[in-house]
Amino acid sequence: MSSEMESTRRQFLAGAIGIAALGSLSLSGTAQGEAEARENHPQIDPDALSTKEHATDVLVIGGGMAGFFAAVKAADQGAKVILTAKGRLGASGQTPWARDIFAYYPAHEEMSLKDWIKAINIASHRTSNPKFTRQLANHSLARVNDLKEWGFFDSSLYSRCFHHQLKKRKVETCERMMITHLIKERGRVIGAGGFTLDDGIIHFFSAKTVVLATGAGAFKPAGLPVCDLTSDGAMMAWRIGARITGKEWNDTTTGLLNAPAATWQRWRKDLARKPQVCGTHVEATGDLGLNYEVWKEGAILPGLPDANKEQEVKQFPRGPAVHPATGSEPAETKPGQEPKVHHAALSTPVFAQGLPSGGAGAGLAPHNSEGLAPIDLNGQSTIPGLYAAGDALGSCVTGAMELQQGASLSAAAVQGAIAGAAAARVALRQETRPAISPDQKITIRKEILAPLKRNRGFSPRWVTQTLQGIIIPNFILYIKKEKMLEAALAYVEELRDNHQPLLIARNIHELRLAHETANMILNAEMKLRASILRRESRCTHYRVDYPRSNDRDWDCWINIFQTNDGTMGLEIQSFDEEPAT
Amino acid sequence: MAIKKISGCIGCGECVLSCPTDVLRIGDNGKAEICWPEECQLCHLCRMYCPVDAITIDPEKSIPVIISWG
Amino acid sequence: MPQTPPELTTRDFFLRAAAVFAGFPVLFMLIKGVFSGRNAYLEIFSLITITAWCLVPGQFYWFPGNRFLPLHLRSWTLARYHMVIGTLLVLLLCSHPFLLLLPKLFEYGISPQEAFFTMISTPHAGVISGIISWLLLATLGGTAWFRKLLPLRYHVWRQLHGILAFLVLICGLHHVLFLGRHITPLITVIFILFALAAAGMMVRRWFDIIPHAKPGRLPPSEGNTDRLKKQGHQPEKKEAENEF
Ligand SMILES: Cc1cc2nc3c(=O)[nH]c(=O)nc-3n(C[C@H](O)[C@H](O)[C@H](O)COP(=O)(O)OP(=O)(O)OC[C@H]3O[C@@H](n4cnc5c(N)ncnc54)[C@H](O)[C@@H]3O)c2cc1C
Ligand code: SF4
Ligand code: SF4
Repeated sequence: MSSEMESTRRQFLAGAIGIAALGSLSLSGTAQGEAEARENHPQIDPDALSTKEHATDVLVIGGGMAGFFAAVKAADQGAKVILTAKGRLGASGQTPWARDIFAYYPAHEEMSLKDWIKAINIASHRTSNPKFTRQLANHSLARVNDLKEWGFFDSSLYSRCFHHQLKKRKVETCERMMITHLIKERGRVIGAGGFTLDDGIIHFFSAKTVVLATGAGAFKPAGLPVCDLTSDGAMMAWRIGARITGKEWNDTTTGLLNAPAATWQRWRKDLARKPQVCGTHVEATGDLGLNYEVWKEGAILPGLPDANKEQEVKQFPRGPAVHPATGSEPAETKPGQEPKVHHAALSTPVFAQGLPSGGAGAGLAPHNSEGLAPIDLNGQSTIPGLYAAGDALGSCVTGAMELQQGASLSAAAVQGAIAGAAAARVALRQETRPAISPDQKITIRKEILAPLKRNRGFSPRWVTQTLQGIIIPNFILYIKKEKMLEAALAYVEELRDNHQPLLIARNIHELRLAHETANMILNAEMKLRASILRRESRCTHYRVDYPRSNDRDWDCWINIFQTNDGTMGLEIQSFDEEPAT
Repeated sequence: MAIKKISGCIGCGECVLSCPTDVLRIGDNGKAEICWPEECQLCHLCRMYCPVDAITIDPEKSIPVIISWG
Repeated sequence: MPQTPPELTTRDFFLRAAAVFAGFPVLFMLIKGVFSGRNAYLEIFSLITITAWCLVPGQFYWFPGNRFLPLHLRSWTLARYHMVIGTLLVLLLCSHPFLLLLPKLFEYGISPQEAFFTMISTPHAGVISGIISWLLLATLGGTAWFRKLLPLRYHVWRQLHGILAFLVLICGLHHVLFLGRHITPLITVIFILFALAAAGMMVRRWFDIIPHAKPGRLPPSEGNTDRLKKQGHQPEKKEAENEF
């Protein structure tokens, strides 16, 4: 243990040197050459790790709200279900933090359903998918009632409630298991492979259908408790040919400049309470005003109103407009139109606690705006048998912005239930379960264990920190211009080509980090490529070189797929166009 | 430094299971150990799941953090 | 230094003894700065529990029949102290697993019942010795309060009481050292020393190896002590501590 601590510290030092070099973005290579290339002394014998196999009708990957509902509803259809999660069921991903859940009460809402959907579509500059918005409204109340019945609203910790329901339905749960590979055969998904974090056993699941509920992903940012999410689901799916959408959008949550990682302090009030239900209230939050302001004027904001003067906070100068993106006032519903869109002031609570810092959730996108591109309302992806739900699905419920309080948790529940039921129906109709071929198993096992077997290379922690230094700065991730995006892409490609293949791990914990790092590198490349492609500004995507929105050319989503030669291909899907399959 | 101290642990393993970023393990003495504080995201989940309030957490990370501006 | 036995009233003696038994560990805890991070209730709770535990070895010392004590101490008052403190200790130590969970009533996290269940179902040695100590302590308290109702002769009961107390000491020490929140090497040493002293006291009594003091001497009356005080014959603190 103590020697372990020792070496971790040394490794961290290497990381720190890397960061220092990145501060000036001058990766000369010589300074940290020594620190980077290290010998690997694995603490475990990778060849001694055993393999286990499971067979099921429906495999649910992810233990958040979406995965939970997928498993429940799939089991209710009579299918055999296994649920796996990288962490604990109900205590990993973003679900443990969500406290507001949206429900549309047809009888009481002040906004009619049509108006609400329209308000969201307008406020999101048409990036929302009205079909999914409607689906959310239609099903949210039923899901909230389910949750009420199951005691979800009695505690701020969800694990026990979730476990109880799954146990009742005899769903097998495998917690603390990282899935690294989706397995495809003859165009269909037939299962998945991964390893457990406690003992490193390799697990293979052969399944008739798979529901991917792995949540969103970020670059292990300080400021939001999402460091376990590295877009694993979307990246695995991309590798077997699925289409990924919405990578250019950004979440703009701020943290505290003096304690950027103090998430609990920042959200304590929210996190310590019980969950609650909320109704329609369309509010545009999470725009790029502050990012733009800081980029223009600098980080420390002179004359920042002090904590108690809430009034002044509201009048704080906000850059060119609420959306610097559009170059005009934000989409406001015109008089005579019913829908109301409120514009939130810069979130006062943050200011009340001190100066804001940026990139709190670096790498996240507004909920549901990115993920697997759906081809139908069941969350079916472009690969037969593979479904996605919740944050893992690019359903664009509220488009490329956060507009409706509580919608993302609710969407995870609604989409999870629908995808789970659909996956179960398909699985039950399918007679045979194709087996995973021994060759595939050998290859996957090799790929999973590779970082443990390399005797020299780069530590995942160092590569991650280097990646963070490249992608998180305000002038790369948020205030974008072609030249900088291209430059950052060159760095990321370097990591992809020359560092990722040399990632090393000494234990299972680092093995997980190595796989997460690989996913983050791929995700960074996607985000940069999509950002380069979208030559306009809209919602949470801002291009200094194209500061206006361009409805004629860019009324579309951008989907990313794998070309025949394994590189990244990008396509656009017009807002009114049906998805390509 | 992130998750700071575990004292009064009874070794129930709730925290190990609940930590999303895999910071903790049960050590040889049957108690929870902070193994990789670098990965701690200060989320307090371990503390909330601990039946005996054995865990204290600092508001600072143990490694330098990268944010969008400073 | 000449060994003049200090003349103390029972109350004086008792306060000093308690200060020595409970004061040390708490002082060390304060010096080590363990009070950081957790909420005030839990810190105060810890402090009280530790003080209670520290007084346990004391009980082995100030029981009425201890011939190790200066004989002028009035045994009836001493018995009262022994009983009051004993009752307090049993109540506090028996309720501490529950008091620990009390804050969970006011949070929306895991419920106290869940926490309790997790707690007692953990097969950790410290937990098991804790449960055993709890049962022993409860028996100890019960048999002491309802002694009159028990079909036991006094000296049999006293033996039972002693054995139970001894077992509580051993199991409790195991529990404290394995699970104690504020255990540091120094505290470990102090606790072990205290426990050894207490056990020693017990053993000496069992085997009756304390040289009998002259039983004829009667404790000085209130008046006597007062006179001594007036004459400025204040026992020095150091001497008082030599006692232990
Ligand atoms: C601080 C905070 C506050 C929020 N507040 C609200 C709110 O008030 N209202 C609201 O509606 N929304 C809120 N959200 C958003 C909301 O929590 C999410 O949109 C929602 O929980 C998504 O659920 P999900 O099931 O799709 O994904 P997640 O909850 O993120 O679950 C992902 C699951 O996948 C697992 N997983 C990931 N990778 C792998 C892998 N490789 N192998 C196996 N398993 C894997 C994870 O372990 C996890 O169990 C908040 C988010 C945050 C961060
Ligand atoms: S605070 Fe969160 S990340 Fe840190 S150890 Fe606890 S559960 Fe893990
Ligand atoms: S949850 Fe608390 S008591 Fe249980 S192992 Fe973790 S620190 Fe120890």
